[in-house]
Amino acid sequence: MTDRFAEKLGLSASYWEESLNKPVHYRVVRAIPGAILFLLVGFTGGFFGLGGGWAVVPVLNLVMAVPLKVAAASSGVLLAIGNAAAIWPYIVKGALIAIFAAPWMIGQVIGGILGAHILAKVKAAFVRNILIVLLILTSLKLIARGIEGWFGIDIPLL
Amino acid sequence: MSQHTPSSEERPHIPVAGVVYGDTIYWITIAATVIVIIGSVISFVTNNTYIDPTYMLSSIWEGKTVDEIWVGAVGAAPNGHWYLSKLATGNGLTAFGIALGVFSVIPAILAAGYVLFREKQVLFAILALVAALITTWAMIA
Repeated sequence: MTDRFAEKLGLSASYWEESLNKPVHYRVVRAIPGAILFLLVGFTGGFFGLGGGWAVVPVLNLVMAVPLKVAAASSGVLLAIGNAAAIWPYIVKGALIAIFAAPWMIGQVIGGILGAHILAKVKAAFVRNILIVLLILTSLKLIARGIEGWFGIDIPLL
Repeated sequence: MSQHTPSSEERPHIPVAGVVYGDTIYWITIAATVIVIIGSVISFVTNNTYIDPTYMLSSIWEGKTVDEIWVGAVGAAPNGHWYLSKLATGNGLTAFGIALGVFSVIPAILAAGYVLFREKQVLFAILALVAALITTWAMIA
């Protein structure tokens, strides 16, 4: 049923895998559960202020069967659109401090360009391993934040 | 996972809407980054700043709120696109560069939506238009 829905939306595509030197064809599945999970990701991001970047790639890759590299690239697009809408209130209220945001923006742009070029060339397994480490670290940080809020203690974790 | 080895070894056609979206954001963001660098240099090297960076940093370390910082610096907190009238100053130019980078999403979505509409992918074109409208509303509201 849900796969039929994904098929109706035409959610299948191909991309050229540089590390394999051949194209990879993929078909997106479970579009409805994916959409529901994105709703939850957006809700938790908005409610707890956690940001949704940590969850977008796993939902795309593990639930919707999008290849990891495509999931990583797509999450960038999704986050850019979502964050662009969310950041304007801060800009017009003067809450975006330019001297702090400027180094972040320069680093983000340069890092983003480098990362995208590297992502296209490395093997998917390498990306997966890095992602697993990052997700574990992010989870630890989020758990620490929750414990801090719950018990009113300070955990010195990044 | 439904990933499988293809029968054809040809390079797949890259969706035009994706290329248009990516190129639009890429070039506007690079232009915005250059503006941010110039603005930051003006802020720190010259005295041509709207808010003194030293005052700003010390106020943040003192724990002042955003409104308190603005009131202390220029007499009132901004409510709107304040940087547009302060482009000749370092802070104003830096803030404009950041805003331009954030703004880049809107023309990129609209351009991609137009391409999707031309390719008769009406549903995705409408979704792109809705996303652009939400972002534009956030910018002007």
